[in-house]
Amino acid sequence: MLQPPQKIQSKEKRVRNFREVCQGFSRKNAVSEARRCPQCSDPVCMTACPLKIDIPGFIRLLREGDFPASLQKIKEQNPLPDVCGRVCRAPCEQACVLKKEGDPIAIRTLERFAADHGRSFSVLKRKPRLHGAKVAVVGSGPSGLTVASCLARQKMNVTVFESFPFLGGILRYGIPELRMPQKVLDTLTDDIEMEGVDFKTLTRIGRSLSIEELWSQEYKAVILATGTGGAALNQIPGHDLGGVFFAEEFLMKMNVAETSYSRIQADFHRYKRIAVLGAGHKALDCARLCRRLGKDVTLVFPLSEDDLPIHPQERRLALEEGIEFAARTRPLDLIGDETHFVQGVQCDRLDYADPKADGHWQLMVVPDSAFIFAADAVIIASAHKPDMSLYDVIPGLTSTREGYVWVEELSMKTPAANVFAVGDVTCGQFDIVQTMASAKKIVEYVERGLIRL
Amino acid sequence: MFPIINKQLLAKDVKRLDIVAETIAAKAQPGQFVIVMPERGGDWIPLSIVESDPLRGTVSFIFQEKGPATRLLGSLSIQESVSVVMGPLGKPATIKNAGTVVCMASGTGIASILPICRAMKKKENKVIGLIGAAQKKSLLLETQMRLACHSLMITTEDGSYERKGNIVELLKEVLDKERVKLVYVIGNAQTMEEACQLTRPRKIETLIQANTIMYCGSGLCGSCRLEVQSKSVLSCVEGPEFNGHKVDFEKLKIRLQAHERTGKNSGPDNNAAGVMKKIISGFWDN
Ligand SMILES: Cc1cc2nc3c(=O)[nH]c(=O)nc-3n(C[C@H](O)[C@H](O)[C@H](O)COP(=O)(O)OP(=O)(O)OC[C@H]3O[C@@H](n4cnc5c(N)ncnc54)[C@H](O)[C@@H]3O)c2cc1C
Ligand SMILES: Cc1cc2nc3c(=O)[nH]c(=O)nc-3n(C[C@H](O)[C@H](O)[C@H](O)COP(=O)(O)OP(=O)(O)OC[C@H]3O[C@@H](n4cnc5c(N)ncnc54)[C@H](O)[C@@H]3O)c2cc1C
Ligand code: SF4
Ligand code: SF4
Ligand code: FES
Repeated sequence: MLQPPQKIQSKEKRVRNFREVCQGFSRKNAVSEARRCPQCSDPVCMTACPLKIDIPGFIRLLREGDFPASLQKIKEQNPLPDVCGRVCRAPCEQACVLKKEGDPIAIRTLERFAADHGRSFSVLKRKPRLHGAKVAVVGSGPSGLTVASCLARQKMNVTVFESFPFLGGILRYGIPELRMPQKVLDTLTDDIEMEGVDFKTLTRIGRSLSIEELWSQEYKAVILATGTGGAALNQIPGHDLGGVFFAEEFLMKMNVAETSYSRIQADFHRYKRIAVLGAGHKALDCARLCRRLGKDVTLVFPLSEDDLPIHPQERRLALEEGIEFAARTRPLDLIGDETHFVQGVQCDRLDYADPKADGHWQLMVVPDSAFIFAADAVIIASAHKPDMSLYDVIPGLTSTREGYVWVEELSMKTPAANVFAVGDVTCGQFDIVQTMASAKKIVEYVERGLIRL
Repeated sequence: MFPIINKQLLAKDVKRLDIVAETIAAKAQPGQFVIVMPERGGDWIPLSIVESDPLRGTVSFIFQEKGPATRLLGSLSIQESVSVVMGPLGKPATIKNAGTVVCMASGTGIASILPICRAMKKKENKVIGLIGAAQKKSLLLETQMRLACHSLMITTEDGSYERKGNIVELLKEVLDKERVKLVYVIGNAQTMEEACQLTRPRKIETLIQANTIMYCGSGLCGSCRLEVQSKSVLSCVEGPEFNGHKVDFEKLKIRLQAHERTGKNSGPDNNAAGVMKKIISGFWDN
C-alpha cells in the first residue's frame, strides 16, 4: 500500500521561489491515510517517537474527523506539533510495521495536518498570570520553547531569554522558509506566549544579563537551552579562501533579512558550481537554497547515500530539484587559485571493505583515489560546537570531552546549583525531537516532585 | 525599538547618533561593539560603541556612510528609531596602566579608538594619539581626540592638513623619541601590519582591532574568522582586540579581499532566480 499524494509544488515551479514546498495532505487524503493505520495493539511507532506521542490515538481521532481532539492528543506530549509535523526526522515512520510491506504511515504529515487543521481559534486572548516559581530559560530554540511551554502548564512563571531579536533559534535563522515558514513560527510563539510565558529578546545571558543578576531577580532555576552556537573552525584547511562560507552565515543571510538576502545574491553572482560539505538537513537546506539561486550544487559527504540522516521525503524532493550527491567522498582540503578564491575540494573516495575479514564491513579510503572536486564556492555544513564562553559566565559548569555541557543524564542537572541544560548544548548529535525529549525530562522530574522549583 | 535622541553631522558623510538603549548603556565597556539593524527586516552591521552613558541610558555611534546599511542609518532623523541594537558584543579592550601609550587609527577606526583613548587616559597613562585620513575633509573627531589624548598628531594622505603621509610614519618617529610601552592600532589591515612590524623588533606590546566582516556578532556564523597564532578564531567573541604580533595579516587581507571582490563587482543577478522575490511573512511583527 502506498501513501496518498501530498500537495507539493511542482519541481519546475519550486526552484523558482522560496515558499514552502510541501503543503501536506488534503482533508480527504489525510483521512484516507489515517484509515490505513491498523491501530496496532503494540504500537512500535510510539516507542520510536522520543516524545512518546500516542500515535495510534491521534490517528484514530483524525480518522473520525475530530481534528481539534487529535491535535489535543498530540499536544499532551508535544508542544510544537507544527514544527515536528514539518521537520522532524520521524523515527516513528522508520519503525512503523507497515514499512515492511510498502510505505509506512505518513505519521509526520498527519501530525502536521492535525496541527494545521485542528487549531481552534479560541476567543480567549488573555495571557494568564502564573504564580509559580520564577524560572529562566536561556535560548528560544525547540528545546527552550518546549521546557518553557511545559513548565508554564505547571504554572511556573517562565521567562525565555533570547540573544537574537527573533525567537525560534535554528528554526528561525537556520531552517529556510521552504520547509519552515516564518508565519508558522510566529503563530507558535504567540501561542506559547498566551500560555503565560514571557519572552525577552536581545538579552544575551552572560553579556547583557549575568547569571548573578538572574539569581538576584529571584529566579529559582536557570535552564540552558543555548544550542550549538559556536562555529566549528579548524575542520578543513583552506576555509579562509574567498568563496568559502559556513552554512550558518549563508542560511542566516538568506533567512533573516530581505536586504541581506539581496546582498548574498550579489555575493553569489560570480559562483556557478557549489559544493556543500555535509550530510545532514543543514547541508541539504543550503543546497536547496543554492538551487533557488540558480546554481549547480553537489552535496559532498563521507557516508553512503543510504546512511544520510535525512527524512526520505526531503531527500526525494531535493533530488528532484536537481541536487547531486557525491556520496562516499571525504573532503580533505580546499584548494585556492592565485587570487585566493577557492577552485576545488581535494577529496578521497571511500568504499566498503572488510579489513579483518570478520564480516565487519566499514567505509574505508580507496587507495590512490584522491581527486579534486571542482567548485567555485564551498559551503561548510558540518556540526557546530556550543558557545565556549558559557563556561566563563556560568561558574560551576563542566564540559564533556567534546565541549558540550555535562549533565546528569536523568534530570538534566549540571554541576552548578539550580542550573540545568537541555537540547543541543548537551550533545551535538541531536535532532529536533531529541532536543525536545531532553527538555521534557526536566518537566517530568518537576512533576514528580524530584526537582523543587 | 531604539529612539534616536541626537544626531550630528561630523564631517562629510560622517554622522553621530545617540540612541536610547538602557541595558546596553549599563553594560558597555570601551572596545565593545553592537550590531545595528537600521530598519526592520533589513541588513545589520557592526558598529563600535563610542560612548555610553548609563545614567541617561544612551549609547552613541559614529559611522561613515559607505554603503547601503550605513546610508540607511544616516538617513534616520531625530525622533525616529533604530529597529534593532544588539549588544554589547565582543570582549572589552585591555585597559591598563602601562606608562606611555600610543593610540593610532585612521578612517573610521578613529571612532573605535576614541573610547579606548579616554579609558587609557583615565588609567593615568600618557596617551599619544596619531590619527590620519585621506584628506582634511574626511578627518574624524579631531577635537574629541585632542581632549582624550595628551598629545595628538595628524596626517593626511594628500597633505591638505597638518602632515602629509600616513600614521605609521608618525609611529616610527614617536617610537624613536619616546619610551612607548603599548601601541593600540585600529585601521586597515595594511596599517596594522606595518605598525606591528615596527613594534615587533622593539618588543613593544601591540594591540589591534580586527576589522573582519561580521554578521551574527555572537560566534555562530563564522564569517569573522581570522588566524591568530596559526589557529582560527572568531573576532566577534574572542576579539575584536588581538595581540597584533600574533595575527596572520596575510590571511586577514585574503578574507577582506574576498569580500570586496564578491560584494562590489557584481551587478544584479539577471538569471531566473535573480528576479525572484523573497517573502518574509510577518517576521518582524513579534
Ligand atoms: C539548517 C538546519 C536544518 C535542520 N533541520 C533539521 C530537521 O529537519 N530535522 C531535525 O530533526 N533537526 C534539524 N536540525 C537540527 C535541529 O535544528 C537542532 O538539533 C535543534 O534546533 C537544536 O535546538 P536547541 O533548542 O537545542 O538549540 P537552538 O535551536 O540552536 O537554539 C538555541 C537558542 O539559544 C540562543 N542563545 C544561545 N546562547 C544564548 C545566551 N547566552 N543568551 C540568550 N540566548 C542564547 C540562540 O540565539 C538560539 O536562539 C537542523 C539544523 C540546522 C542548522
Ligand atoms: C567590530 C567592528 C566595529 C566597527 N565600528 C565601526 C564604527 O564605529 N564606525 C564605522 O563607520 N564603521 C565601523 N565598522 C565598519 C562597519 O561595520 C562597516 O562600515 C559597515 O558594515 C558598512 O556597511 P554598508 O552596508 O554601509 O557598506 P558596504 O557597501 O556593505 O561596505 C563598505 C565596506 O564596509 C566594510 N563592511 C561591510 N560589511 C561589513 C560587516 N558586516 N562587518 C565589517 N565590515 C563590513 C567592508 O570593508 C566594505 O567594503 C566596524 C566594523 C567592525 C567589524
Ligand atoms: S514527533 Fe517526530 S517521531 Fe514523534 S510522532 Fe511526530 S514525527 Fe514521529
Ligand atoms: S506502527 Fe504504523 S501501523 Fe502501527 S499504529 Fe503505528 S503508525 Fe499505525
Ligand atoms: S560574526 Fe558571526 S561568528 Fe563572528
